[in-house]
Amino acid sequence: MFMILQNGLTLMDLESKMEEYMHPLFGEMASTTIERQKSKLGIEGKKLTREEYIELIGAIRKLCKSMAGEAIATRIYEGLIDIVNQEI
Amino acid sequence: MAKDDVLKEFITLPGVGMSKAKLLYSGGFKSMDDLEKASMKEITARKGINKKLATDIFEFFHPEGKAKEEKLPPPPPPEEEKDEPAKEKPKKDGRADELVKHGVDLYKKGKWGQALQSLSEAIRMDPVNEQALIVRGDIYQEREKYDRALESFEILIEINPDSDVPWVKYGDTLLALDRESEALACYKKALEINPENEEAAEHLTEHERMRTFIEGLDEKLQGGIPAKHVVLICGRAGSMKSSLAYSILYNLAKHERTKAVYLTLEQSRSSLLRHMKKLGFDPKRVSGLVVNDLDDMVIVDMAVLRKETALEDLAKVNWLDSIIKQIKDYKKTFGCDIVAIDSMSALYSLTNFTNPRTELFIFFEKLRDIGVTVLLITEMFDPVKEIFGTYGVEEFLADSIIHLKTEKSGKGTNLFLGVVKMRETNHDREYYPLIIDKHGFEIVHD
Repeated sequence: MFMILQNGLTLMDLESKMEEYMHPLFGEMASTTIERQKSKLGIEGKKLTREEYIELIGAIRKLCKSMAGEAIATRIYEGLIDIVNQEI
Repeated sequence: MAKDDVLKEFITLPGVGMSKAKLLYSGGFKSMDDLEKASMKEITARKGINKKLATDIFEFFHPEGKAKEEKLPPPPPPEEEKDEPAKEKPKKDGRADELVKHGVDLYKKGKWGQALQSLSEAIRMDPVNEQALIVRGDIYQEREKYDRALESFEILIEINPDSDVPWVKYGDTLLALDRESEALACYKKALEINPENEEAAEHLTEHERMRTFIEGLDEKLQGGIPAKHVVLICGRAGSMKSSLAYSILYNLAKHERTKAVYLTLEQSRSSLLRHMKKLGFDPKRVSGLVVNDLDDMVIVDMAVLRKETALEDLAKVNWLDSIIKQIKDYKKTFGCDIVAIDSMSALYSLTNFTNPRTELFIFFEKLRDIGVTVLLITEMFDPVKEIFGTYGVEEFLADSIIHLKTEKSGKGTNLFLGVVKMRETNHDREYYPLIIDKHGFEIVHD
């Protein structure tokens, strides 16, 4: 059963969109990367608040930066923030 | 800049075909800058360049209309104002068209000699009869009289420089003469005029090449690696495979603004950048060329991701599929023309093959389908045998193989480069000494 967010969207909708946006850099590892970062932040296995999603995206940005440099990291970060802003 | 490159630039000017480009070049203009600095008078003074063409060239560089401001000799009075009777201009009448039709019929019947006679007569009566010039050029091309075909198509271009058809035909003839880079410039021009020209687009896709920027090599590969090929860059440890692949991507991004991705699975991004900087490939020089807020060349460090991911999760991933998906999505999102994967042995170490031959066949096919040029850095492990790939199938699946070979010489080791295989390319199979200095890689040959 998917968690329902404020506007009726499922958690899966939002995170699927995040995953999809991360594919150019993470390929099929996008999903596990999200879960890994949640775990590192101690926010796994629960409904995330908007602030927690922003925190998660910040951690993903840091990872992107070490993987591919500032420009790509910023692009991914901005895209993910847009997704969260649209959905929550 | 090489003469060919200058000529290719010149033919992008209005009304300038290859013959006029050559006249400009032999007239002392060795670059676009030279032409831009020249006055109308200086351009007109060149043999074979009439005033109309000189004006077009001048106004191309000075669109604000400086040509009018220059003090030019007054134009000759119109013909009708002269006392002498007007000269008879070649008239376009039905007779010329009839001769063209007749010529085409003869040609269809295989009587190409008589067809040429008929068409030449039509052109004598009507020197700007485009249909006659096209068919005559086509016949010459088919009969492999390429110089004459070029003449016909050059006239066509001069008559109607804004038509894409003669540019394609001119390109086809140049291609038949193995003058591939000039031919590609013509197809590009045709596409500029008419972006819908499928023939030109098809030729460009088929013949487009990626320069390696390894001095001396591109001229031996008809201009470079065919675009969208899957290329193995093979060698034993220490043969500078990564550096060579990196230098190709770096130079393409720097000089041609090609969107390049270097996917490293082993060496860290920071270590790779430090090493390349020492070799003179400073990434900052590339990041100055920013397109869509992104660097033209990006190094993606997959090793970071591997370290970040739990082992049990790593084992679940099909890395071959993941890399394909990644490149495909990267291309869609950020744009990508060329990608290097460093290295195949690292990728293999992450992959649990059931049937390597089949799985690699599918992997190579999927790579090709993405539509980018792919450089696969491949370690050669056998100390004696020259096997270009771990599973022995890679050399058959790849379109091209560039082999970097090390040979001990006294206390040192010399490096050689050989192109073992390159589809759609006439190349020799010699091994050339490979050197690297502050200017980059260079092969040494006579």
